[in-house]
Amino acid sequence: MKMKKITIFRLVTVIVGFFGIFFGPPWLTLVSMAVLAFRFPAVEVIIMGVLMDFLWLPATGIPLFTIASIIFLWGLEPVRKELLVR
Amino acid sequence: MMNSFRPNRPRKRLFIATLLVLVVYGVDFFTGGSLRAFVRDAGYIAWKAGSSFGAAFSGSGYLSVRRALMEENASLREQISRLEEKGAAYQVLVEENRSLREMTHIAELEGGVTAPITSSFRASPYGTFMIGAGSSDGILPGDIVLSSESFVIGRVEETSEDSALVRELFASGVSTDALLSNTGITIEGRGGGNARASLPREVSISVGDPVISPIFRGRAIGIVGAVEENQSRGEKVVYIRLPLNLSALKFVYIVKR
Repeated sequence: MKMKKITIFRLVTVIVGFFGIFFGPPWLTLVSMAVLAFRFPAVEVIIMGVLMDFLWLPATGIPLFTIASIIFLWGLEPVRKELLVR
Repeated sequence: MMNSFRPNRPRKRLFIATLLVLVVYGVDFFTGGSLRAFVRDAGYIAWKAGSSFGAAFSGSGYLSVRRALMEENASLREQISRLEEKGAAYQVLVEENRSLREMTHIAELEGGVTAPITSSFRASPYGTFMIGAGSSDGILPGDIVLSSESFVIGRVEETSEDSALVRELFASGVSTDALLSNTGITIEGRGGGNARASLPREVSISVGDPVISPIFRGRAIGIVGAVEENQSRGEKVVYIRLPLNLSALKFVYIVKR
């Protein structure tokens, strides 16, 4: 039951994040990425970051969302390891 | 003896994903942005589908019908719903017609392409937006994007076959050379159609003065929204804005640079 709740939470956060990429304000995706990375070693975070940059960033710019996604995932790894169940 | 070593699978997965990101960026770079173009085309379809769904939902009068459910009988509710839908659809057509008519007068003055805005202004963190015209319509990177009143909104950054990415002139971090009261200034974009510039205190400026840019062949790029005097530095801080509501824009006009 708990696993199911966790899966639903992850799914909803991913949907919100992807919705933010296309329609919502950028902070919505950023928050979703942070929440996901805090709770799960989620590959979706990287996908969101890359998608955001590919969609909105001209080729000459710095891919801030991709960088942020990598920082979130790897930076929050020790916290996930200590506090949360994988 | 039992082996206590357990492979760290999620970590390994993350490592592979991180490597894949580098590969994806590498492929995109060496194929001249083909992956980007693919993602944007997919984004264009998603945005189009989303906006048609939104328009259909708001135009259907669903919410007002729901309110009416409590007050009126079933047949009247149905009738009202239909009328509302027709009214909303009519309003959409009137608005679209008005935007296109406004574009016509620029088209008479200089050759270019009218293109619909196909993405939201608020969705991009980089001050960019997408338009529904691309290289197949003769649009090239560097082309100038104008509003119906000929104000410069931005520049085309990248094009794919049927869409193009435009960077707003007043996007955060973008600097533009301009003229205000015959004084050369450098405008710093602040995002959302707003920008800022500093001028010597002696220059006379008032709210509403137009800001033009020689880079864009003397076209207007904004108007003065507010002026603040910085006594300690002996300068005026000018807040510049586009005299239009960006999020209400439906069409833009693209001319050659």
